Amino acid sequence: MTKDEILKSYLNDPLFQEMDYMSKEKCEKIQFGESSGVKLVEIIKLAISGNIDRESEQITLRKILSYLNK
Amino acid sequence: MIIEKIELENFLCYSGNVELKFKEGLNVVIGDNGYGKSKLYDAFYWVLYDQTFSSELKRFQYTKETKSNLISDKAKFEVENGRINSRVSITFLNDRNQDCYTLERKYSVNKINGETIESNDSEFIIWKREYLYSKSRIVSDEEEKKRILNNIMPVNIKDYLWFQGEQVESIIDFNNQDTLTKAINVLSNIKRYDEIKEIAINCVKAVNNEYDKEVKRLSKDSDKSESLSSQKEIINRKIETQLDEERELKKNLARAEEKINEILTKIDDASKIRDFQNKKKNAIKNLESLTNELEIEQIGFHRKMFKNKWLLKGTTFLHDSYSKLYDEYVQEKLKSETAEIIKSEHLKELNKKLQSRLPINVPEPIHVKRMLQDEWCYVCDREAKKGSEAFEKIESLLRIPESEDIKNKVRNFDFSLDLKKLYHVSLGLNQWIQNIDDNINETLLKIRDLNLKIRDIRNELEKIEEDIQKIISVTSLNPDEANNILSTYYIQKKYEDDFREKLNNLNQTLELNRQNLSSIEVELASLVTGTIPEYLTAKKQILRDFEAIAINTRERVFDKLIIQLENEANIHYSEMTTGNRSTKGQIKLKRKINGNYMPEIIDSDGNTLLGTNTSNLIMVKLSVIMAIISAKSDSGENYTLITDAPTSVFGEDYTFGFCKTISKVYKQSIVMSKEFYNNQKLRNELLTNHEIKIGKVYTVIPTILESERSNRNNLITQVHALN
Repeated sequence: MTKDEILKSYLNDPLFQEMDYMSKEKCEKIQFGESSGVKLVEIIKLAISGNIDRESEQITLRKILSYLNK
Repeated sequence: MIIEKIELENFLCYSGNVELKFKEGLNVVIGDNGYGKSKLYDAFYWVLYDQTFSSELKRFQYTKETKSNLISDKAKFEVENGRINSRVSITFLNDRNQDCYTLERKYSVNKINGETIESNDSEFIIWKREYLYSKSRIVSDEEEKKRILNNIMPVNIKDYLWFQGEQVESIIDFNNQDTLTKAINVLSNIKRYDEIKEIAINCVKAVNNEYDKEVKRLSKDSDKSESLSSQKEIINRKIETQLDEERELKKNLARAEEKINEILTKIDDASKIRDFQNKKKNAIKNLESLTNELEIEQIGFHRKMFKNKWLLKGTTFLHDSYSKLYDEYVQEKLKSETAEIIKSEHLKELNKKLQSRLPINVPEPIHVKRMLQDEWCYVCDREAKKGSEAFEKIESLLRIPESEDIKNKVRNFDFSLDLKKLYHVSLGLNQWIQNIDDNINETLLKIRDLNLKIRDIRNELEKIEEDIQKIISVTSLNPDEANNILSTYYIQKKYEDDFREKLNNLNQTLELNRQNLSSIEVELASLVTGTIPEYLTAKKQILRDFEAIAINTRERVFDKLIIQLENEANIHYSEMTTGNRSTKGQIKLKRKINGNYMPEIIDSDGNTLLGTNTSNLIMVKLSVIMAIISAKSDSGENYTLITDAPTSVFGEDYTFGFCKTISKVYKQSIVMSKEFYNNQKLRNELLTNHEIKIGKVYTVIPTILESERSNRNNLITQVHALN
């Protein structure tokens, strides 16, 4: 499963759609390598990358938390 | 990767050099029991895992345990001095890049003058050929060896690809609820979603801490905030403990439910067996009681001969005779007494007369006798000649006292009272004797009645026993097992109720704690002076959303996977059970209270099918395994299925469906089977049916049959290719 496929599985979740962070059309067009400009999407990408690249959970956690401090 | 060939040298019953080549599709090795199929399976297993299966010990053994037993007896027998090798090599071909790997395992012994010197371990070598025409080289780097082995057979899926018939049950163990969940985890990407969910949960914990610190820092009443924070911490800890308890309870509840479900199919049969057993017990009790009663009646029958005077039966005539005699006696007696009275009166008269002549006893008898002797009456002094009146008169004086004595004597032998008593007794008995027939009839009827009842109960017992045997043969449950099932059912039902009640109570307490937590949070927020930084509030919200999405997505993906798996499993299940006419139903992967999934068979209305036959249950397991493997194949990963007697645990009519299915699911499969040995029709179908992608088919036949194999020194296993 690719990073894009995993990301899509999160973005296609009905709950994500309900939260109204991003339109459905935009969700469909989104690419893992491109910035979405939506913080929630970006932290999901950080978590996916960390997992695929076998990064330690603590490092991914720190990356997410500091990303949201911006 | 597919297996190109296996080469054996003096391995177990395969003496000499034997080679079996394989192709893509279904490869079958056919042989009867004891012909060497399992030893071939052992050869595959030995190369990769250095272990062979001991059918005596029912477990795998390493080479260091089996040692020279791995070597063919014929090879050991033929060599007096020198080295004997047992060697198996398997060649794997990566059909994508033409890489070729040969895995070789060897075990050697030395024989010196007939004495065998064993090595402790086997040697393992991997040969690698990178291009089709390049030369093979030995892989010496241990890491590379590990990588190659893992590519050939990943540890986590080995159990689903290499198995023996008897292991099918345990690969997906219906008693162990998380085996299916584990299999899904191993063979899918769901683990990633679990890990991302874990990150999200920890992110929320971290942001909550950060937020709480900020709330405390901005508090107008730091003491109160401190106290509220402590309370919050305590409640959070309580909630965590309670959540642990909840998980544990759910696990226990699911276990109890599972155990109930597991025996639910047998509960009706077990109840029937127990009811029959109870009936049998009662019948035996009744039979014992009636037999005792009959025995008492029979002993009593003999006693009644005396006690109830049955011996007197038919003797009423004796009473009649006696009665007649007694009457006569009474008459006679009366007569005699009357005569006696008359005589007495007469004597009295006579005495009166005698009194006028002489006083009684005067003269004395001695003088009377003298007078009779002298024929002379000395009283009147005159002659009294014998025969004269005077003589007789004198003589009569002697007779008077004598007649009195006789009377007395007669009175001493008077039995009239006894005879009278006897008469009355006889009269009473006569009445009794007249009722003896009725009494005997009554007793005989009772005995007959008891015998009839005993016969009925014996018949009933026979019928019960027949019913018990019938139900035992149908259900394969013996009475002890039936009792165990019932007691387990009641125990587990009690557990289930207890766990459910505890869970309800726990949920109420949890809800209360959560409410308290919210109140504290509201109170803490009310103490804040100034503004919490906007980025922090947003951060908290985003991470909470992340957590919610991570949890939801994981569940959704898992559920989707389950549905896919279920659909796929049903396709395989339907194909595999085509040849069987019993009720099949459909596979449903049912979610348990603890989140695990278990396969069930349901009917078209969605009701769980109880009492499904064992073969179908095993088919369900195989179908789920195949569904998992199919999912894995979809992602481009192909592995060879190697299985020894997979169809031995279910009926022959499933064999063809099974072969058809595995030829679709697995790119390559190697199946050792005996079903095609005896059934020529099935074998022909295997070789000619176009629905099966057939690879190579072999028969293995030993030169000496297992039953005649006391001496294995000449044992050779011959391999013949059928196509």
